Amino acid sequence: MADDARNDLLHGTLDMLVLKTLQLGPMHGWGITELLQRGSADVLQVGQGSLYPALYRLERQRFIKSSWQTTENKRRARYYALTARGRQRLADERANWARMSHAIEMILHLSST
Amino acid sequence: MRFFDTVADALARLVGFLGRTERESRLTDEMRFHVDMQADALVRAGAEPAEARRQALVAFGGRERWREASRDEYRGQFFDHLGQDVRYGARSLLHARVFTMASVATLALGIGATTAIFSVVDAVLLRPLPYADPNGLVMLWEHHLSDVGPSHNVTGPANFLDWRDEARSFSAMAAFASARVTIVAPDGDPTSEQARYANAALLPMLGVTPAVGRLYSEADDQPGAARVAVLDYGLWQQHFGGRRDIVGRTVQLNGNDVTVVGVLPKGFAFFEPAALWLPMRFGNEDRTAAGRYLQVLARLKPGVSWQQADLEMKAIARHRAIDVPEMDANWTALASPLRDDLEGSARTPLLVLLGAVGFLLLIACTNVANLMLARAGDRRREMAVRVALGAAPRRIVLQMLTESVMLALIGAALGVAGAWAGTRVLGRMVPPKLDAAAVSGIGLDARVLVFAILVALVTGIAFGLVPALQSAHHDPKDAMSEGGRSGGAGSRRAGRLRAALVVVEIALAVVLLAGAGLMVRSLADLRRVPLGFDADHVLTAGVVLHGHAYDSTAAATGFFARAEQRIAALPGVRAVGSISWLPLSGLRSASSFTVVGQPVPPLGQEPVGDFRAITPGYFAAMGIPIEDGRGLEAADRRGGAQVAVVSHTLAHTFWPNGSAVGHELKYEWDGWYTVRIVGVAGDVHHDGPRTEPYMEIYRPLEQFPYTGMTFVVRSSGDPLSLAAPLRAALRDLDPAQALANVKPMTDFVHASVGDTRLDTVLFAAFGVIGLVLAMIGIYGLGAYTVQQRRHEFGIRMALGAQRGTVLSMAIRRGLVLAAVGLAVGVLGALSLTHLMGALLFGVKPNDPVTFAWVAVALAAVAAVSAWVPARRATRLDPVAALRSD
Repeated sequence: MADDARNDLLHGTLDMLVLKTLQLGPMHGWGITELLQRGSADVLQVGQGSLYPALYRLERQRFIKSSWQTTENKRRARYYALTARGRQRLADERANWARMSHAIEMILHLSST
Repeated sequence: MRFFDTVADALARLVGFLGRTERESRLTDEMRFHVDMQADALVRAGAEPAEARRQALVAFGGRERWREASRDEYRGQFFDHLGQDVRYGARSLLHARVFTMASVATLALGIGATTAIFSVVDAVLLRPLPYADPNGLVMLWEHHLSDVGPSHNVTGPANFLDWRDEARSFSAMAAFASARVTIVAPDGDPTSEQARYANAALLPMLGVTPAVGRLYSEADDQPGAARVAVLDYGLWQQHFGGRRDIVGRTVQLNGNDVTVVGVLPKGFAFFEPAALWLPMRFGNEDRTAAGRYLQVLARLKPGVSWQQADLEMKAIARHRAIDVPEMDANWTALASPLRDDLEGSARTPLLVLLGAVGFLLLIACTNVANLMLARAGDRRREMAVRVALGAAPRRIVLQMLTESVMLALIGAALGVAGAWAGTRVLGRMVPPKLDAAAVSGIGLDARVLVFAILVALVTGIAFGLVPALQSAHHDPKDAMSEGGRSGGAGSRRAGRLRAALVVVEIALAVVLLAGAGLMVRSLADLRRVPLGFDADHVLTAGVVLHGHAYDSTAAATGFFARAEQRIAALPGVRAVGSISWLPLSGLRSASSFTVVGQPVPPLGQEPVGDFRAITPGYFAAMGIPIEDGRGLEAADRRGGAQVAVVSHTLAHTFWPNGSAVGHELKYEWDGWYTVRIVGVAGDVHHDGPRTEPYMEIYRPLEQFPYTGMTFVVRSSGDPLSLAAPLRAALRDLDPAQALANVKPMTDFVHASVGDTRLDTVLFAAFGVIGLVLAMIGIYGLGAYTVQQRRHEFGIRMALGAQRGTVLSMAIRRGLVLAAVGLAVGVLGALSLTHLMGALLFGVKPNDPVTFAWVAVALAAVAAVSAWVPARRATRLDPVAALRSD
């Protein structure tokens, strides 16, 4: 359903990345987009059509929580923060990711002998 | 886990729905913030503010799409999808019109019938009686040891006064009796009303508080006290305009002035309705008075059970039998809970009906389950396509659940309407005695309604959900490649379940049909019983004479003779007579007698006969044949030879080979009498077709005086057209007398089988509904089978199979299931119908003719229901059938 073609994010990795950015501290949606873009040296461009649904999904699953706060330039923004459950989830997904990428690496390094 | 997720989703959907506006504003605010930040960033990078804003909006992308996706994730999607599901469900239910109508009708019938019947049963049998501490109330009766009739016989004042003195089980005891009285209302017209004479203790025992004034007291109960009365609420409203100053006013009752002391509360009833209550006064002479006419109510002392009281009553009766053998030899006494007497004969029919209606609900649920399974089978492909197109399994399950619930709710709504109507109809049909006690109580029972709706909902959901879960989690590839054909394990399992359901349904329908058949045969037999008289064209009208003008018996009998003369002169009257206790009126007066010249049986074992006073015209007016000797004549006067006409049964009991005419009978009434038999009349079923004719002794009114008689007028046309001239003629004769119960004799005949007719109608309705539902079940299964196998049938026909072969293949399954269901049903019915033995007449609960008819009817219906869809199989165009997959 979501239009993920542009950023080539593997299905499911967006959630992990969002959780990871929030591990650095509470942040609003735009901040998360910026951080993902800058943090990946502009490789990952997360569309708003994916980010917000992901945020709402994670909030519904109680991995993150949100509240209205005021930014430094006096704008009202919705800040998202990691919950304990989310922290656990991030750890699980990281472990999972590490196993997967290791496995993929192994395959890619196969050579005929 | 999946289940809990679904439930959690449903809750979230609800919360999300409630928080809808909050959600929308949050989405808008977040979007605005995001765009603002983006625009700021662009401005910082050097763009024009307006251009930056435009670019930010473009970068954000399609807003509606974003909103849509966000909403989906925000607290679940349940409620947004609900609207969609309801619309989709409505479309698909409308599309499957036959399925929808069958399911809705089934549910409506099941819910409606169950609730209506149960509401009545509850009001009549289960709810506490509307009296103070009703469980402590008992009725005291006598019972003649040789009497095969009803075991609850009324008692006499002598025994009652003795019981009241002797019995230790009761804290209070009161006697009561009913009588018809004539009262003169303020508007001057005399009316005939039912009055109840009762001891002062009775109404307080029932916990009655008067609406106006007071109840009468023990002082009013003493012989010689001033005449007082308590009015029923209805009479007070009707004839006295509900005026509160009624207390202290006098009313003319049977020619005497009676002071009104109070009015009973609205809705109060106790046995048959009574318009006014009068003190029952006993003097010393009553301690030795003969005759039995009293009913007795008593309240148990705390801690005494009715069984203990019953034992004490029997002990007292044994002493009485020894002390006053001329009155009490061979009589015993008993106590029974008031509830038993109020329920009377209605208990068994109601319980049997309740059982039957339970079966109906079961059939209805089975049918709905079956329909759901069939439909799910039809939709396997649709579901598979949706799964393949990416619909989430949970979404499909929720969709099907929505449909099931919609169906159940529509059925339930119709069921409620049906239950409401049914309760009103049934409430009017219950016996008046019960109606009296429970009159305020019969209404739609909310608990039962909720129960029936829940049962329907659960059935709909459960059987809608099982296949939905199945198809949602199946590999869509299977279902699609399987096509509509039989094959996959899932559809085979569903097929077996459906076959089992059809068998259950047929079996249940057989039980209901057997019950219906037995009732129909009973009613037919009851109607065939010749009652012994010809009720057509006969009008009846009762009159109870009052006033000092009729204190002498000569004056009273003279009135009836003159009245009959005037009635006979009316145009259209063919014959007229009168009788003290009209057949089928429920009233009789019996006494023991002996035959002069035959051995006298021991005291208390004498034969008991029914005594009725008649005028000479009675036999002709009623169409009762004289089989031997003569009828009674005007010449059989007071002071002349004492004569009687006896019934066929009496004559043949004592003179099986010879004639009874000329023999003499001896009995005690208000003195000892010896009467000569002058004729034998045909037997009459005085208490209806279920009761054997009594030994009857008809005496001439002149020699056996009564002041209350019922005119029997045979007309040449519509008897009711005589009602007005009859009233006019009597008003002319004596304007102070009032006629009561002016109605055709056929009304009594009709009423005498009323209970059986009601039971029959209900049973027949249940039987037919059950049969129709079973038919739908068989048809549905057949249609489904044909649908499943059409590919196979197509191939067979393409290969040259005969139509007959295909037809028999398609029909076989339905017939096998019908046969199994029939066998199970007959076994079930055989073990259940004996429960309705008390309702039946002339047939045994295992009546082979009835069972044969049921089997034939069911087999025929099953064959048709299986044949219709099977025929479709033979009409398949092989090419189309093969191509359709």
